[in-house]
Amino acid sequence: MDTGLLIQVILSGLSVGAIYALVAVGFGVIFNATGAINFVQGEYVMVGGLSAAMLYEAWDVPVLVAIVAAVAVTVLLGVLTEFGLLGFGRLRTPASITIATIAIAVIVKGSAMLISDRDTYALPSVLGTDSLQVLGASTSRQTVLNLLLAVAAVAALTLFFQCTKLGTTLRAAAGDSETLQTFGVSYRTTARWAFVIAAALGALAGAGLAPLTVMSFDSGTLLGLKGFAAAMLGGLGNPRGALAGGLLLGIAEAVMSGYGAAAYADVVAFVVLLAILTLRPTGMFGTARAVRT
Amino acid sequence: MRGRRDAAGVVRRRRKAWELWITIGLLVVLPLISATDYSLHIWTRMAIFLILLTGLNLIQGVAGMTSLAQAGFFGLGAYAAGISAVRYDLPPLAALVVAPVVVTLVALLVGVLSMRLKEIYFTMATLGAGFVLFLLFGRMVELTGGPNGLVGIPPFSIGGLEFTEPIMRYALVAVLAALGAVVAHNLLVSRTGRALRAYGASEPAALAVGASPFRLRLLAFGLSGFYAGVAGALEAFDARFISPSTFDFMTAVLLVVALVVSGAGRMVGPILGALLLTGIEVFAADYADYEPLIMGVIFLVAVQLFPRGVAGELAARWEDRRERAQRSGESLGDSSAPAGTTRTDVGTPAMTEELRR
Amino acid sequence: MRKKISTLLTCSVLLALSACGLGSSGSDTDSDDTIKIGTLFSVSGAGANLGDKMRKGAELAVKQVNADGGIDGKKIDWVFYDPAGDTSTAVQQTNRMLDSDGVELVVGGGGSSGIALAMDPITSGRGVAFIATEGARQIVEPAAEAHPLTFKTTFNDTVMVERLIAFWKANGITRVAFMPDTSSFGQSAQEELERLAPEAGIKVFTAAFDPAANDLTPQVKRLAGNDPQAYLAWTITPAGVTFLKNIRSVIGERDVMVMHGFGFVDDRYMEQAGAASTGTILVSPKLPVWDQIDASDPQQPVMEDFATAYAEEYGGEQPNVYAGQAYDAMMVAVAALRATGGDTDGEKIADAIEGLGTHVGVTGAFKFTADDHSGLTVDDVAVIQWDGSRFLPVE
Repeated sequence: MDTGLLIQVILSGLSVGAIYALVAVGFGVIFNATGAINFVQGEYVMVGGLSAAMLYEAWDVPVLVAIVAAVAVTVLLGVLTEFGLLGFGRLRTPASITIATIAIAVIVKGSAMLISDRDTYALPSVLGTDSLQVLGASTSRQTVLNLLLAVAAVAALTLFFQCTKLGTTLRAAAGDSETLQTFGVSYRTTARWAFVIAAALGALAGAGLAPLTVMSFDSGTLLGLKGFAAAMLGGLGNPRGALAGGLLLGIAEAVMSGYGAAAYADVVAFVVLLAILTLRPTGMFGTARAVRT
Repeated sequence: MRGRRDAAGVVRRRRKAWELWITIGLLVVLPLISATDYSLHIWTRMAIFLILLTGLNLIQGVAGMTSLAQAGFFGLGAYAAGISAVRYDLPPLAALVVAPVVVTLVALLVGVLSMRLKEIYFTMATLGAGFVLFLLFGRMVELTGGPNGLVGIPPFSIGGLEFTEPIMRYALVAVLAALGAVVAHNLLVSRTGRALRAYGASEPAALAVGASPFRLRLLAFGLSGFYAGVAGALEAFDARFISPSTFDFMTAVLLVVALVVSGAGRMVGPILGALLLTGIEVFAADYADYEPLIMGVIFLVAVQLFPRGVAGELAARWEDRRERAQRSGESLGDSSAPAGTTRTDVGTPAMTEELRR
Repeated sequence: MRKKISTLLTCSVLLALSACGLGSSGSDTDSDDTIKIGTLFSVSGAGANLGDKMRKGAELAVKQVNADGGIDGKKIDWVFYDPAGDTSTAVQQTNRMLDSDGVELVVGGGGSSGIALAMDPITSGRGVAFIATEGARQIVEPAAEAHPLTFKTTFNDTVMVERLIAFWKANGITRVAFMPDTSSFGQSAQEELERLAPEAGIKVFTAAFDPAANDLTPQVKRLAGNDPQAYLAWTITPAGVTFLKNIRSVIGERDVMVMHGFGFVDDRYMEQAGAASTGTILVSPKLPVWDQIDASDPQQPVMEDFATAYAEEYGGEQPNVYAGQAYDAMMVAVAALRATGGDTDGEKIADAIEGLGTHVGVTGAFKFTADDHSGLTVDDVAVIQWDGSRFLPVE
């Protein structure tokens, strides 16, 4: 057996999986606060990556400044998303909110297409272009950064949920938003914070993804859906589960590309989604809500 | 919030056949308004959407579950029909039978796997199923023609009669669409249908009348697959070319959104939704670069304005008025249903219930 | 209030629909001083970038022809729709063009082979000529029997693959790692390569990838096990940039030839891959190296005029091969219309195109015949190399 290929497959899986994990965490945060699936999550990745790359290419600002600005832009978009969904007080059920998120995702993508004039944009890695050689396999240095980012995000969120007042509130919302409201905490406030966090996570994922490829207005949609599959795999709403789910899904896809029928690699995510919902809908690490009727 | 079932309910439902008549009436009237080749093509497309939405309405509107697999099932029907005709030389009439059967079986399989899940989890399982189907259409190149599409599908024919004229093609689809609407209507006023609605509105209520929610939902989902199969086969024989792009995630979403904003759960919802879908498609074509933006904005506004659907809003008010007028004439004795029982015939039951909190 | 809004919306939907149907019945009187040409390109959706370039190419041709006084005094009335990559939308729009807008000739097939394949039976069924700008050879083959009214101004994959094989043979390459994407573009090339390469004694090892993939190292590493002398990717998507980066990272110092198909001939993509793109070899029409080929080539002035006019029209932007193909398609249509004296009858147009002799276009010297509705040959293909800042012809 070719160990080089095996290591390469694992490295590739981790590289892509770190991005899935960041997306998956974002899905979880919003699911906990609203009970809905936020299909704009993938577009946050696109907006984060694309705006960072556009700022870098068009205005020649330093990479880090471009990333910070991109995160700010995406967070603003997150706040707008929340307003677009809940600002009119008419959407109450998770199902209707979920459907409205798809409409917003289409709007975001359509606007990004016009603003970027359909062009692709590239963002260099802050760690340079050299690749990292590991036991006869290689990967971009950015992969290491992305993995650290994913782990740090999960650790920070776990701490945040357990040790801060706002975090506890957000976690309480996961259990029951009505009880929460009887304690005088506004549903809107919790939701807004959830969107801010999710958008920031998405933007970071985008900034981490951009150096591995190039960004266009079309970069987010499929990534979002795969990130959602990862979230389900780990247990929707569970940050540690999201990390594990993301990395596992990344590796599963890489195994398919490296050993199986490579053309079917993108089917893996959706088969995993179906399988986990059938066999263990709470995900590998459990979720905060009841999943069966 | 007064629910009246049993005898009074049946009477009222029979009166509700007006919604069915609107559907059939429109199918007859549209080609009279305009019968150019292009209009007939549009009406045909509308009628195919109508069949899809009638099927979706059984699961979305009646059982209260959102399915994002309808576009995948639509595609499966189209490919099942197209492949039987092109690769296995089956006569089109046989292919039109094969397609819904195949789709129903697959829908039942997906249903068995996912039916016990709660609302949003079920939706995501159907998303997965729809996406897997969509990807397979593009990957199984030998069978489906892959991303380039399946070419060489013959026109629909019975015996030696070929359905190539636009008016014939419309007639075929319209007749089946009307038939589908009638079947759906009759199903809904039947005992099973009432149980389904009751289940959509409230699970305990359904359990109380002794219905098995799992079987009922599975039935609804299987039927929605059957409708999608018929629609798919008709699409294949109408366009005589199919490719994966028609059956993607966006189509699945558009179908659900169109149904929800038109009025899921109403018999008149599917026809309004089908008109909305074709209307937007025709309208947006004139704004090439802004098309996705326009689509997104229209749907966001529509979902925000009519969370329980245009038809739901209209019909609920109309029937409320009728009921009030009627009640002032009757004794008040029969309106003493237990408090908290939800109406069973308005909007997406789950949504309606939520809205009224 | 709510009720009013709902009633209003319901009514307006019905009105809009019946209006669209009614409007089609008689509003478009066939005017004698214009010729209606209809075009579909997907300027939104997944292939939007490419579709936009095609639209610009076709638009430039229409503007030039109309500025020169049109075709025998008749101006082109250009009808454009965006099917957004969806075939059923494209079918509907094609019907609309032909039945409602009064389009007499169709140029451009939506920017994807699947769409062009869906449009062909409709245009042919109406006896309308159709000049496609998409790749798959099934769009026009077999020409005489099945597609008498349909042409295309793109290379058949067969031609590209033949050129590739000749190039490999000349460079002593017998083992090739091939990475097509799973779109119709990649799949068509895969079919041709796997059919033609074995006959030429070249071993091809294939690993496909999803156009939205963000990491291709497993495929690259897997193919490396076969010790290939060349890696060839076939895609139009940004994943091609990832391919270039991944090859450099995985293969390292090993001496292999890195190649791309003609879908990836794009300065921006090359620049965005950074150092990883330097030395990449591509098969392409001659357009990207128009300023470096022999001035005696009759194609040279045509390409120069096109590139100059395009840059002028679109703020200094350089045209890519897709803009060139769309421009050619429109110009072939115009040449045929001039030959028929403005008659748009499908069969007359087809005869005129087959009778053009050699039409020197931007993409190549087209020689359409009754059996060849693609018109391009191996001589029109150039092998070019990216030297880090621009494309150069390879001998």
